Amino acid sequence: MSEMRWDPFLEEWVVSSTHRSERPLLPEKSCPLCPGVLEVAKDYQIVVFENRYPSFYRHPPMPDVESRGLFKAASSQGVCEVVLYTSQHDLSLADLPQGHIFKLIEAWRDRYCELGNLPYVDYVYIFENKGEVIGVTLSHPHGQIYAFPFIPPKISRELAIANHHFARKGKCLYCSHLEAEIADGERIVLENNFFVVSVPFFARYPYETRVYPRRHLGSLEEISGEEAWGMSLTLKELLNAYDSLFGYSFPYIMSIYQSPTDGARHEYFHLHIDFYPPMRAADKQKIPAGCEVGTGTFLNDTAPEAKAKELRDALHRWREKRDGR
Amino acid sequence: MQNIGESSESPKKKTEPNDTESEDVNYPRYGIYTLGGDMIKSVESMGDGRYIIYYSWEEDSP
Ligand SMILES: [Zn+2]
Ligand SMILES: [Zn+2]
Repeated sequence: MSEMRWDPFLEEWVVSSTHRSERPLLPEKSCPLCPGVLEVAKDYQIVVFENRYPSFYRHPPMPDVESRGLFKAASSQGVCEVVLYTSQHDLSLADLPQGHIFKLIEAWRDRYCELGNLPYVDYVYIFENKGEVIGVTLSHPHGQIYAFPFIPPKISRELAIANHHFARKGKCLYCSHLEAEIADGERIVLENNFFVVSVPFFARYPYETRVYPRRHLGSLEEISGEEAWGMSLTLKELLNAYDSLFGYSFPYIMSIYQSPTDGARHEYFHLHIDFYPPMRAADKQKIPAGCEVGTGTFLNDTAPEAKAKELRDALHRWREKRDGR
Repeated sequence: MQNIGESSESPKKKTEPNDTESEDVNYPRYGIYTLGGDMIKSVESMGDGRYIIYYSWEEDSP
């Protein structure tokens, strides 16, 4: 079964899909994402393939249920891809050489453009779930792409607000936020010529960060070569700051937010990447619970300014080690 | 294919979920393409209806 069901209260889609087939049996401890095991026949540098267990299908089945009254269902047309960052099983995105991350950005860009051009794809969402605490069962370094047939609700709400701000003030809301974070300075984690990372003023997770390009870009489609190089350095440094924080490979959700691909103009939109690590401390998880799930209001029991300093210090330690000091 | 730094507008028809007209008859396009930064993109079939894309490049010699 695979279909979208409409929630008439929040006016948003819920995507339901059940997968009849279990993962093919593999020898114990073998990884289906390593070359020559299951999904990828040969050695590779970066690979993208269609998810074996997708939520959206290029050729979706008709919904199992008929729409009637309040109960509206639709077929779930879209694309779900898996992105393997490297064939090397034991590495993470943080471990990859900057040049390799640069190539990954080129691959992301290619996927954004190609999937976004499909007539039924309104939003290309590139993301990564990292770490067992997020529920990731395969430790091989990989991310995912969901090419949605609609603009997802959280993003849609934000876009409406950013669009309104742009229309009223003639200025990009994200550019304004970036300027304000730089002016305050306290929550900045790192900056270079092309990108700035901060723990946002309104962070929901203790170690949440937002990555902005300094230039007003809507998507990776518009990024220049030197900006992409700057982005690869930014990701490399930020991820290693995370890993240096408590001395272990830090779990996170990475979300890359780009312009919708619905054919409309979204000049008010500004590319950004958010990291949501599910940790409050080295060994304490931050799990959205009663308040967050039940009301949508996040409780953050830390000061973003203090967390930004921790991340700056962690980055400093990593840079010293890198530079052999 | 475009290179990093290039940009284009690609207006397309807005579609709604359940719009059965929105077929992707030309997707995926199997074959080998060149991207920016001397990256090669090879789109192949996985043999079970899915596609796989290999992105490859020459590693810099040290
Ligand atoms: Zn593996
Ligand atoms: Zn902007």
